[in-house]
Amino acid sequence: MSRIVLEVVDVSKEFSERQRAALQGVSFSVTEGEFVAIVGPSGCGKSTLLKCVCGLLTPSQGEIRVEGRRVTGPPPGVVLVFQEYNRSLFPWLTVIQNVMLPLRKRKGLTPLDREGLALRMLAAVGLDGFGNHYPWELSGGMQQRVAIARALAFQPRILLMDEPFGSVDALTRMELEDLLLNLWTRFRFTTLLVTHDVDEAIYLADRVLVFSGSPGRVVDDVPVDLPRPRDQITTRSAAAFAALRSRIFREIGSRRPDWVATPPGEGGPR
Amino acid sequence: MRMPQGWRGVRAVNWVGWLVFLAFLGLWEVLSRRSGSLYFPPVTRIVETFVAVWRAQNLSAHVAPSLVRMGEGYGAAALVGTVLGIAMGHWRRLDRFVEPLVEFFRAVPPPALIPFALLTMGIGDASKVFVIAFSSLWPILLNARDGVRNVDQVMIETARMFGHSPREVVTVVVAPATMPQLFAGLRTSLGVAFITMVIAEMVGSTNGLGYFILNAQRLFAVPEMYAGILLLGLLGYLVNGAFERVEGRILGWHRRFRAVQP
Repeated sequence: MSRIVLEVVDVSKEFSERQRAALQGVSFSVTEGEFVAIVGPSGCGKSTLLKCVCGLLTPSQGEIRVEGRRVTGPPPGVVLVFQEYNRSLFPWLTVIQNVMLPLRKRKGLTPLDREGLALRMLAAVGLDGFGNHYPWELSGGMQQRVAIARALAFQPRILLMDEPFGSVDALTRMELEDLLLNLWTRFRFTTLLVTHDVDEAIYLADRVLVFSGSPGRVVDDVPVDLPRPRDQITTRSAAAFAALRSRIFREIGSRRPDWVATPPGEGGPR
Repeated sequence: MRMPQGWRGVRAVNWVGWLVFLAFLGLWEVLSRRSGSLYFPPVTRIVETFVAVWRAQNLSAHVAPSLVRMGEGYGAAALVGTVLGIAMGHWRRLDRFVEPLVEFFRAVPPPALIPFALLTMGIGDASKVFVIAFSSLWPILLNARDGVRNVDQVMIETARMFGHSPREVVTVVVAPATMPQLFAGLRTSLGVAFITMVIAEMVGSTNGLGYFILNAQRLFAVPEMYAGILLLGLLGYLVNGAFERVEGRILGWHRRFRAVQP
């Protein structure tokens, strides 16, 4: 049994301005090197949870522990990749300068070390030679790769991703998924990825946590025992994949609000 | 793969525009010579006067005081406006405190304050510098405030996540992110300061370009009056050009950034 690196214990979060709870009694734990995906309908507090884990928000109740230590501010070794790459990359910095951002606070590195590390991370995401471009000169998929390279430069033990591939087209999305799996295998960081794409969650993860909406709760914890390395075509067409997919969809579907579940002409206004 | 930048942002010499400008001067020359009007001397005459008038003595007597006042007033406004604007953008409470006051003063046309300034500060430089500073303060202040306020929360969170303290976030994110809007304010104020300088010198002064132009008109020295206007135009052009150079140095990325935004 691997070491537990992340524990979420009975976490609830309410925003005072909205009264309604975003998260209610969420508990789970993640072991070292594990890839966990969270799926759920939009507005189920998935993003709120990630912000709590990386210390940008404080839970109203419960606690989060990273490697045994309670999170009170941004913990070292935890990094979040935002969906909005165009809002999280700094437009006044070049690509390489953006990737060097997390290294500014690292002591004992010479400027040359920082640059070398940043260049290696850019190469790892297949962007060698783009260091001196500005992020906004690149395509959406490339910008998200810059954001991933920047996260990797932080040398995270836990990588959090909030719908990282939500704003790119379907083909680019597949490429980025495989890039992520590749990097995860290579650098062995623990990953917690939030998505609303059930197929993506199954394809990438070791475990899928299914969330229900408002307030967000964990309703199921689904182990994904598909063999690795995974492949976009064979993995996704495996019978086990389809079984997992149906199970998760059923979980989410059974909790859909009435206005979705009611077929036309039955009980609705005629 | 570099995204194509196209021809946007490339600035070639605007030949047609210059040709139109020359045609305007030519037309002026011809019409003026034909009419012989006292109020519209020929361009050649204005240029001759310009060369004769703007020698060392007049330059130090009129141009230098104008530029010094402008520099002092604008410089003070830039300093105070930037600091106060950033503070107001940063601390909402401070903004709420002073907002009505700011809105009121900003609505007052600056020349209306010239009598007040002359009364309290006398006819010396202080009154002019005050009015120039007052007029150019507001665009800088409000743009700096809005710039700070509009900094993307995601960028701030990004810097926090990478271990920057709230104070470091100000230098790492807030300052550079505010720069484009701050410069928009500085640019607006540059023109405002220039206008206020001329008006203030016309109303209550014994030297300076504004005074020179008004005085020439009163003495019926019409070509001298035009020479003053011409110099003001040239100065405005040069000051603006210098500003653009500084802006291009600091905000070169922003010009190209805006060119590729959908």
